[in-house]
Amino acid sequence: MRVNFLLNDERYILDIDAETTILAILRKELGQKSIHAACSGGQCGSCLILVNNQAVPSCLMPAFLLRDATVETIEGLSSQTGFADIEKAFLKTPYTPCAYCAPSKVILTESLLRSESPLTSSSIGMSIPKHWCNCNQESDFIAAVLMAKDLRKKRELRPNG
Amino acid sequence: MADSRILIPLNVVDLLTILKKRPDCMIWAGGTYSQTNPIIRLDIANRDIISLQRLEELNRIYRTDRLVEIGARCTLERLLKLEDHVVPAGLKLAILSSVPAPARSLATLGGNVCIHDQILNLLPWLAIADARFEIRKQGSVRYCMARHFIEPDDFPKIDANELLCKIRIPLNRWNFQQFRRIEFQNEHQKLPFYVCNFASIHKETLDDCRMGLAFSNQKYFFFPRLDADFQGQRLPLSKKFCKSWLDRFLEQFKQGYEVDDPQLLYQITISLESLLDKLRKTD
Repeated sequence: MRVNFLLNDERYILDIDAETTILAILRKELGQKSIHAACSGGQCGSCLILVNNQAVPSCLMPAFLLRDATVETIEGLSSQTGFADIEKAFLKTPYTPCAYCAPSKVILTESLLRSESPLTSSSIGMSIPKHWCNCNQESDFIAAVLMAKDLRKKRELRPNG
Repeated sequence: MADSRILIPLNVVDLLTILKKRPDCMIWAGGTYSQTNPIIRLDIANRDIISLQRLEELNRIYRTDRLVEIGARCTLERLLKLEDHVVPAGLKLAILSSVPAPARSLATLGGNVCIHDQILNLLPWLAIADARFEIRKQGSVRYCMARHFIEPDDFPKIDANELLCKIRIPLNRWNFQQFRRIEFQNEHQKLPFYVCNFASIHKETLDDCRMGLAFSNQKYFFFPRLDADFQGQRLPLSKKFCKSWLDRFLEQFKQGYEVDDPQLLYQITISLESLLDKLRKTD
C-alpha cells in the first residue's frame, strides 16, 4: 500500500508492506540512524519518535498508520529553535545521557513539553520506561525536563520568541 | 510485496459491515500485541487488516454521575492523563503497573481486554470493578460483564464478526483501591499474577470490600464469602482479624485450585498481607 507522510518537514510517498514497522522504514530506507532497535517490544523506548506530537515506539507501530502523519526524529528536532531549551536544560542539570540513549530522551522530553496536561514530577515519572538506561538516574531526568519546561516558557514569553 | 490489504473504515457501521462479510480480517487497534507476538506478526503479511485508526466513535469518553463509558480505542496514555474523577485512580494504577511506558501511547483499552495477554492485562481490575462491555455486530448489540468475558478455556467471549465498542465502569462505589502486579518466577515457570483490593469506606467503617487474585491467562478467583467478613468492620482493622482472614483465604485457595508450590503461596501471602496492611491502617 502507498502512504504519504511528513518526516522532519519533508514529504515522503512510499510503497510499503503491511508488516513493515516505522522503525525499519526510518532506519533502512530514510537513513534516520539516531533511532535504535533494542527490545523490539515497546519496553525500553530506544526507538521513540514523535508522531503527531506524541512519542511512540517506532518498533511497534506499523508503517500503514503513517498515512497523513507528521513524524519527527532527532535529526529534524535538532534544527528547531525549541531544541535549545532541551539542550540547555540537559547541560545545566546533572543529567548527561549517553550517546546511545540521548536521542530518545530528547524525543521523550519534547513530547512531554508539547503535551497539554500539566507537567509535574509525578507525571514525568509516569512516562519513564521501566528499562531505563544505566547512564543516568530518573531523578536527574525529571529535573532536566522541569528546567526545559521553564526555559521554553521564558522563550515563548519573549517578544521575538 | 505482500498481498494483504489495509481497510480503514470511517465509522462503526461500515466496520461491522466489513466484519460480517469478511470475519477473517484482523482488527488493528493499537497493535502492541500483534507486533510483539512472532506468530501473529508473521500472519500480518497474509491477512487483510481493518484499522480502527479513523474511528472517532471509539475514541470518546463519556461520563455521568454513576458511570464512565470509555471507547475501546482510547489509548492507555490518554486515560492516564485524565483526572481521577473521570478515570478511576485504581484503573490508572493498574495501567501503570501492567503496561510499559512507551507502549502506552499505542496500546488501547479494548485491545488490552480482547487480547488477554500476559503483559498487558487490565481485565482483573475491570472484573472486580463490575465493568460491562458493549459488544456490537451488524444489527445487534450485547452487553457482557467483564468477569464473564473470559471463557473456561481462556478465550475472550467475542466472535470474529463482533467488535468491542465501549467499556462501562461504575463510579463512586469504591473510595479505596489497590492494584499490584507480581512477577512470580520459579525454576519451572513464569507466572505473573495480580492482586486487587477495592473498599468502600464510610465514617471509618468498611461498607464493602473486595479482594481479588488473578493469574495471567487463567480464570478469575473471587471469594465473595470471605469478602462479606469485611462488611461493617471498624477501621483500623485489628491484626488478629487480618491474620485469620488471610489464613481462611489461603486455605480456600489451596483447596479450590490445588496449588501446592510453596514459593508461589509465599508470594501470594506477602502480596495480600501488604494490601491488608494498607487497608488496616486506612482511616
